[in-house]
Amino acid sequence: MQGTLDLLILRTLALEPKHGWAIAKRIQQISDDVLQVQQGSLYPALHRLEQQGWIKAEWSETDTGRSAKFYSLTRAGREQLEKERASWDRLSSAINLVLRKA
Amino acid sequence: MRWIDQLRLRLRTLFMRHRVESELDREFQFHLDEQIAENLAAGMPPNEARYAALRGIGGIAQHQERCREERGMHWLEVTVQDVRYALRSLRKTPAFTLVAVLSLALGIGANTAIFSLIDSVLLSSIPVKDPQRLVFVRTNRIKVGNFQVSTTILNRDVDQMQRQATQVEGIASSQKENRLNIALDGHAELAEGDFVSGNYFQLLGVPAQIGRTVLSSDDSPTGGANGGWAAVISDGYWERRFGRDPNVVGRKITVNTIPFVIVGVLPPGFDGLSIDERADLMMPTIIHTQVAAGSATAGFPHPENSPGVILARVKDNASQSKAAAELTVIFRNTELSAQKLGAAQQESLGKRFIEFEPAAKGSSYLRQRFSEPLRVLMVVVALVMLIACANIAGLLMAKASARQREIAIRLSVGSSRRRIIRQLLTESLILSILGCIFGIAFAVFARGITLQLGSGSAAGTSELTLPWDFRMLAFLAAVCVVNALLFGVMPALRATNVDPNEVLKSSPSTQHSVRLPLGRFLVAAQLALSLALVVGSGLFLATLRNLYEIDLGFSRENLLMATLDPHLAGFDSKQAKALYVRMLQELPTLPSVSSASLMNNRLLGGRAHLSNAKVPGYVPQPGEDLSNSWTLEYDVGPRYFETVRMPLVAGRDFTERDEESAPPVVIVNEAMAKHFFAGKDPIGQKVLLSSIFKSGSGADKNAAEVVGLVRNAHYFDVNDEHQEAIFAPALQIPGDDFASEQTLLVRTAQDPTHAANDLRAIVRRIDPNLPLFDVATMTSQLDRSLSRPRLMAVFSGFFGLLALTLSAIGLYGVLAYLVTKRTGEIGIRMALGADRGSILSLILGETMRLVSSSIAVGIAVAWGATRLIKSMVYGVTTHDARVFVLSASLLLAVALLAALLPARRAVQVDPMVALRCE
Repeated sequence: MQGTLDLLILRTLALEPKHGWAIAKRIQQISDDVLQVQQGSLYPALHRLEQQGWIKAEWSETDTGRSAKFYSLTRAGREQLEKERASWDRLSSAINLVLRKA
Repeated sequence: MRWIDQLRLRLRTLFMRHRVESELDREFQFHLDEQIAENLAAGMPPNEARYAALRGIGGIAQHQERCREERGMHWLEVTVQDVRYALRSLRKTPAFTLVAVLSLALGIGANTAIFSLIDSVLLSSIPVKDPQRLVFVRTNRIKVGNFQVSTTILNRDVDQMQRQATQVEGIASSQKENRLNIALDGHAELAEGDFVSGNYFQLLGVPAQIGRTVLSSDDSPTGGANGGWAAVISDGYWERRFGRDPNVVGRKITVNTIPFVIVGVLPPGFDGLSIDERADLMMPTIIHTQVAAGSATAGFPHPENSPGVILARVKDNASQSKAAAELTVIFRNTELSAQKLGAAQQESLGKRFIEFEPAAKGSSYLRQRFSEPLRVLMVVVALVMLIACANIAGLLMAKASARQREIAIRLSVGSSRRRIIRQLLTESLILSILGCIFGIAFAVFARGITLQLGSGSAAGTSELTLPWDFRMLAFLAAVCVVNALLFGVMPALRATNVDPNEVLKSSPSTQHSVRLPLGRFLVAAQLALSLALVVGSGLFLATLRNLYEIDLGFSRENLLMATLDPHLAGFDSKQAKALYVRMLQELPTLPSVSSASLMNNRLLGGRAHLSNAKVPGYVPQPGEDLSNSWTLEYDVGPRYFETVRMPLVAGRDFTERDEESAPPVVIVNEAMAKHFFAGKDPIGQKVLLSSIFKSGSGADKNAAEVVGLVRNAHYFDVNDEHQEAIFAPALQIPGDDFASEQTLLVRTAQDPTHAANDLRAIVRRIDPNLPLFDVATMTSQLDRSLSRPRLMAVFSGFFGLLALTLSAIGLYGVLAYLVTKRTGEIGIRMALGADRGSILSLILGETMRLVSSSIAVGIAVAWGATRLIKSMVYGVTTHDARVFVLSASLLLAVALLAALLPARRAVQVDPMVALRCE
């Protein structure tokens, strides 16, 4: 689900700026290797979020001294994250309700 | 600020493309490097680590493309790319591009030229309030003898209608005068004007742009009391004569010596009800008689005069049929009480009723005369356009099959089919736009010709303007896009509908289907349509030739006509007559003139007087209604028949001695003599004439003696039937009744243009203010009266040839393609011993198969379609065998010509070279 990937990316960037590789790794790691983000979806999603103004990109150096494209949340992105998170919560609790009671 | 971020990104994409692209590469490279590093850390050997990373990522190019698609300016970027690609592709095939653009330009240009004519003649409207409720009022047409005649509605009828009618808001009128002598500060110039009723502008809802319009108070006998009569001028005349002088209101002018004061300027776009004539100024009807006579003592319009064009505005809640019925009753009652009518006349009046005609589009002589030819031409140019499109579709298809490999490669490396179609369509659109641009240039040129052909018809005074308005531009844009889709979509769909595997596996020369069935179908259709067009133009050409070869019954060479109207220079009728007598004496003394005469209506001018001739002792045929039997009447000068060279069968010509005091005489033509004097010698017989156009006391003439019998001729139109005609000596008309407007006829010894200058000099010497107009040789008068068939012949001929050329190009394209594709096959055949003849017959056989089916279809189409132009041809049947055979032969010849080059190439194939290509 496209919206879901956007939400995961925004959430991953909430703490600190990251480059694409790190975002993929982070999502994989936190989800105990359940969620493996493919490059074919990750980068178009990053570019889309950038175009929409939720995140912005900046080139800076990594720990190893290599230059990489770091993405960070904008203020609008932070608000968007809250909105999407709330709607995700609503959706998932609704689905849970149905699964439990139906 | 979110929108600032977004704007910054879009600008970056647009203007820092290189940087954006290299960042995209670096971003993916970084990811790849990280993956490789991780793989190495997991203990893989370096090569293995690299391959694993690449496999994991998948198609980097596709991922990057998807990233690009996310960009806000992506569509623009892609469009720019497509345009570049298209331009490059067009540049690589200059011959194709040239042919395609040229055929489009010709097609679009022709369409635009014809559409702009239709636009101005058929579609334009006059800017008045609520035009839908505005109607022209006239009486129905009744067939009288060979003529369709409608009774004139007179001033007294309009008066009563205005007074009594309850279903209309009002009745207004306007009458045109083509030649008015307008003097401003002592400087005179000719202009055209309308005489309008006082309620005209209020009824039309046309306000003045400055000053005021003509009002009811102006249209009364006291209207000229304050230093002059009121006149409003048109926006165009304000510009031309007054340089948009803001103080124009209040300026004094004279019109044919009558004093006027300019009271206002009309809004731009309104210069009268006629589309193809303009009115420079408009004056109240009441002063019409005096202006027309050029004399302040001429009085005011008579109740029995005609007010000209009559207009009514039907009330909002009234129906048109009810309003017309009401006006019919008023009209009949007015006429019944105004004159004593006999039983037959009363019965005739009972057949008269009032008809309405929509006035929203104004009146137009050109529309009436040219709407049918223009509609036919519109169909013709639409067909030409279709042929051009089919042509380009065929060429594009051939081009696309040459590109099959390229397209297959692009599809196999991951281009989407949609994207390739988009690129191909962009190419079509660019072709189409280029075609439009050149087409406009061609249209401007073609419009010049059309206007010349068109204006020759409207008595030379036509002022048809063809504005480039938004309708025209919308039409062009629509043509452009529709074209691009028409000829672009099918080739694009077919070109991309390939299996890359199949194409790439096969060798270049044996690719795909060599047969190109769709391309052949398109060419065959083009050829068939062109044949139909050529047949049509053949019929029109034959018509024109037949019309020019008609024996007019008089000699058209070295005959000069010129019209004079001494009223305009202040002459009264007596003086005018004296003037003409003097001119007829002076003209033959000129060395360039061999004889001279005059007549009251021009020959072939489309106008004639109708008279009711009574022959004492004539016994009507059973069922013949003598009161409804009309004869053309011409009042002509001395030596008329010698001058125009209508051969006299018996009797004598008119002379100077046939004047007022002499016994009345007439000359009749053979048709008239056959009708009334069958079997008898007409010379010496008596005829009583009463003209339907002359009212009151002058209607009945004394019995005149027939002194001459003349051969039949064509009098008012080139291809009218031979009408009964009667000629009366103009000099026998009393000075008071003498019509001021007469046409001088001059037979010259040599080139009539010299005589024209001499004629002008004489007129100037007699009175410099004497206006001489419409000086024309008989040959040019004939051209003018044949403007309609000439328009059809010239245009259909041009478009027929154009269609033929386009189809020939199409045929050439398909054949050339086939030869290229079959080079290998031809090489093998030749290597195996086939001689040139058999190779030639291979190509020509191909051609003949195509052409013969096209000829069959084309002839069938033409056979059915020419029926639609039946009324427009003369002297040929619409199924004329010669025209059909000639057209088919022409098509065959052109097709063989188109096949020549590819055939030569096929014959010259070198087997060694051809086989090495495999």
